[in-house]
Amino acid sequence: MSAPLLEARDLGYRYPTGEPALSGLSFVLEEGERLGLVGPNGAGKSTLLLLLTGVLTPTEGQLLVGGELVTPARLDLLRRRVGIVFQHADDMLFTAEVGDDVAFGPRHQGLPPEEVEARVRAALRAVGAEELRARVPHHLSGGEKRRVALASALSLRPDALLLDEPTSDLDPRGRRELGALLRRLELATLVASHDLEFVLSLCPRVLVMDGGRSVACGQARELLGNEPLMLAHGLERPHSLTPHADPHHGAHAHDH
Amino acid sequence: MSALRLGWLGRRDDRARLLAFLLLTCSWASLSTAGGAGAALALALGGALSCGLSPGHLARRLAPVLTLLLLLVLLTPFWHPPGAAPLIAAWTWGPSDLGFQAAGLLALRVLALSALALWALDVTPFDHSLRGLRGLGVPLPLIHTALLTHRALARFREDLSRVDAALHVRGLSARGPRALPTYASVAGGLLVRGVERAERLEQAMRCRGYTGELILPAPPRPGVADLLLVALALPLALAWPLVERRWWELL
Repeated sequence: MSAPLLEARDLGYRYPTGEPALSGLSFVLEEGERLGLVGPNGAGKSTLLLLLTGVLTPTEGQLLVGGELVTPARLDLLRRRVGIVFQHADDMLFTAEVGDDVAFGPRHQGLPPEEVEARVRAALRAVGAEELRARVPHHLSGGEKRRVALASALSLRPDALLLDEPTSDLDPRGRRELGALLRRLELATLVASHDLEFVLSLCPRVLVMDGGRSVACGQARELLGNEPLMLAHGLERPHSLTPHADPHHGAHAHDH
Repeated sequence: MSALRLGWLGRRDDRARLLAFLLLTCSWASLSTAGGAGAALALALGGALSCGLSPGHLARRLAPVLTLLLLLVLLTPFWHPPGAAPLIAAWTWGPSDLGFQAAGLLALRVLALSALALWALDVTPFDHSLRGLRGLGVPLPLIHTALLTHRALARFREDLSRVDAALHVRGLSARGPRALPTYASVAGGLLVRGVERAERLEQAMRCRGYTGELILPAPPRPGVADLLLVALALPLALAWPLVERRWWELL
């Protein structure tokens, strides 16, 4: 059996002040799997994503990519295989043209210009943003920026995609389109979000975090529908899993 | 906003475009007559308009230059070079004819160079010009700094306009006594936010393979039209000061 794409073993991180941000976190992300990461504010979701991309270095535990241990000297293991889309798409867009932002990663991988061009085209096509190529990034709408940020992660051809609050600035249509797009990509995806409906619709499995620790990991419908668990960790059961009194069918959980 | 449509000039090789304008800038920096400076200003404005830059855009971009010039243009007529006569003979101190001429020349020359810079730079996205400057040998740290400063200023302006609207709807008067301390505090807050943003931007860049050295795409090989542009600019730049000084009368 092959090693999981990403594996965290008792992963922990302390801020430079010594205050713990994460501790004892273990989970795996298999090839092509979509895993939801949920928890209240301050649970450590964004910190975990920064550890998984090598921006922060774990102070405890181990992180493995494809069975290989990631060390500060082997960050290339992560950078080659893991792409991230930050919560604020603006943080990823800084050039004067969308095409250059999408090309940034491939260029810094030292790829030849023809390959960079092919990747930019493919990434923009994948997110349906080909017509935005010559636009100025900071003049785009929230949904367009989100798509371009996603394209700039996809142009690196990652095996795993990490998304931090991907629906935070999207309208309902943009949110639906993003969900459909992520399903189409068939990449291993880790979605950190407060939007539990979105997580439920996209991820078969979730990891619930609170206070920098993992409190539960399992089937999304089972965990997100567990009201005591949700309330104990400052979360609310998604509306679609709330039992409603239906005059014709009695109480049941809607399944959208 | 739609993409900037690149005209003939915008589609030229960035190095050739910048080199052509650099030659003209060097030539125009030594303009010495109001006629020559006026003709230069007319050429720069005409060129910018013919490249699709709107009169409103040019006016907006030149307005800060005009504001900066105002004080100089108001004060320079009071400068008395040797041989300058006061405009009103009875005054021992006042504007002089040479002072007025110097003020006019100064204003025309600065405006001509500013319009030339707009013509050169505003016909393409900003980073195309940076790419051209890199191709002309400008050190990479400077290019890097210019690119990120451009982005940071754009974000600062956007944030400031949002905060400004929020302050106004809550009753802050731009001319009221509280305006200055409030805007100073807002600007401070935005600068701190800018530092946090810069850190997040650096993280995003590092996640995409950035290790401290910005890689810009190599410029394509210049075409015939690019060489033609430089070939046109070179004699124009050389001839301008000669024509302005009526070189044929010096022979």
